Amino acid sequence: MSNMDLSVRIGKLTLKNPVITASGTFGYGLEYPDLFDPSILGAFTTKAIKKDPTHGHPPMRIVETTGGMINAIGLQNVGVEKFINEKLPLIEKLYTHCIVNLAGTTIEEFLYLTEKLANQKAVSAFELNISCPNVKRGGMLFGQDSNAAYQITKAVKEVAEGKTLIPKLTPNVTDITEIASACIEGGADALSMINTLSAMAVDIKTRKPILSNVFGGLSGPAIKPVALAKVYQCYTKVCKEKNIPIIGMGGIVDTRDALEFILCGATAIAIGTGNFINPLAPKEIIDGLARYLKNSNINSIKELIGTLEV
Amino acid sequence: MTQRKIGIAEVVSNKPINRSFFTLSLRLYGINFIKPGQFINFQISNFQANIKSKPVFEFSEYMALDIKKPFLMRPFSVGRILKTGRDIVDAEFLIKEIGVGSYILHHIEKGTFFNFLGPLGSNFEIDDKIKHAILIAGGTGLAPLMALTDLLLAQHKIIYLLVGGNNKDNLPFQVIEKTGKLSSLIPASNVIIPEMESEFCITGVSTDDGSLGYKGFITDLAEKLLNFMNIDNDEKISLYSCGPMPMMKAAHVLAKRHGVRHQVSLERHMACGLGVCLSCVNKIKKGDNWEHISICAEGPVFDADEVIFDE
Repeated sequence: MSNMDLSVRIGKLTLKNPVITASGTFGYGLEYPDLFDPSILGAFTTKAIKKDPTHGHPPMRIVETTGGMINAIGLQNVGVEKFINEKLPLIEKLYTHCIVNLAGTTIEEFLYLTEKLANQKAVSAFELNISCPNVKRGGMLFGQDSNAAYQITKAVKEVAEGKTLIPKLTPNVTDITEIASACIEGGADALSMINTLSAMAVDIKTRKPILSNVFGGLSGPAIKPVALAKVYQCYTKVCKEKNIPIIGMGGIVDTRDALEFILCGATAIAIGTGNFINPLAPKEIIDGLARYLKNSNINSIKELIGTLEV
Repeated sequence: MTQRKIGIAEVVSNKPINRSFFTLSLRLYGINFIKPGQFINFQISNFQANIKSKPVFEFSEYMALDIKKPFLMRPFSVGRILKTGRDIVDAEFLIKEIGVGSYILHHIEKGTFFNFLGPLGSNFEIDDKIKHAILIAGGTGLAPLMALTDLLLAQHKIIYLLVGGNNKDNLPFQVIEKTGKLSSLIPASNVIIPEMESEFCITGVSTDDGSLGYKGFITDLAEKLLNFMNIDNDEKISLYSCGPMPMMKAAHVLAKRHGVRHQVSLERHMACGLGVCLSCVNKIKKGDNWEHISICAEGPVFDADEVIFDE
């Protein structure tokens, strides 16, 4: 299997394989060692980091759906100070790329985070969580407004000291390709998509919403067809031409799912909710992709990217 | 570092207790131990409802159970641990049918295999110096306390195992009306838990409506017992509880009043079971402040002093 080339480039990074774990589903990369060595991953993405520690929403934070789940965790995180002091020194010892997910409600917060982390060696890239509400614009998500998406990408890029910048797009928009264009104009090195779908759940016994936050984000196999469509649209309309790689995610649980995203134009893929169903899924997908290349007589995974015949 | 594994479970037996409660006896391949208080995450997403098995949980009559399948794994505290050894653990799981996942488990047959993740979470601690332990259970909270009872007996402690329920049809064990030792201390507690009552394990039962055993909350029964025991010193007795939050909160009031150590086992809806997704949090005191802590990783067993019971 060693002559199968699974490596891909995302911005300035070379990933040994296109398999990444998604933000909020793999902790800080340090919690899994008894199940598999996180260093086998192409990269992992940290839980969203904010300027200040955040408690997050009260329970109930999750609800199962058919083929998926809805979450309203509320961006609980340890805050950037604690992340730098306690988590980064341990992350540095892993032989895989660490993509740090940044979250904030104002451009200033994003800038603060970027400046704090731009010189940290253990940080390989920034994933911009622009599904956060922009408090200066009535709580509309940054990622729902082309102009806000452009502004935030541009502002962060200027202080990112050359680190690979990856805005994460939300599907809860009319035309995701417009947001993609705006981020690329702002200097994005890559794009990750999709974040969760806006959703809710109801308890007929109590006649109340199940989630304490009422609304949450839907993830898991239920959203895969939506995610594939968004990746394909962005790839064909914007990203292919501008040579901006896509990290595709949304319901990936097995090798077949991963291949579908790659055919649609994703350079790398991320597994999120799939980790809860099968903690070994990332390992199995890495092995599965290598096997697929071997069985199909293809040398490099790069040959498959965006080759969907339409 | 904990050694959690993905293993294979084999159904050894599936025995009904009453309409809703049942005991699943499993052989867990791939792990060497599990401790009272710990739990296992069952991977049952590929099972479907069997059309001839009628569901009993509330509102099931309005559901298309042939379409709705479990997606996430299902966590269950380990009940009585029967045997541990080289890569095999035999254990019982006490389950109540409350939704689609537990409904599927209610009808799962002997010889069926499924994956599991475990052992997960923290376990109950036993202070060497104690002589007595009072265990307070509500509903399926009995499961980890049965496992704990066996361990306490092996360490030569005297156990009072108290179980409460709404009414006699809603108790997590097979009901046999028979007088036990407790009734000589506290009149009207004339029912025991037959499989657990023994020379060193004194059992007691309460129902809210008095349809069986002591009429009232199980914590009222526990209070009577504690008053009777006349504890003079904090090292001789420990309290453990597992059940609805209001029950554990009331048990903690008793613990503080009598100056005894109290450990609880919490329950919250889970996704990963590993401590990475932050779904199953409870407020836990940290210094002067509190944090939302994933109970699957730092718990589910906690010293009740650390727990904020109100959220």
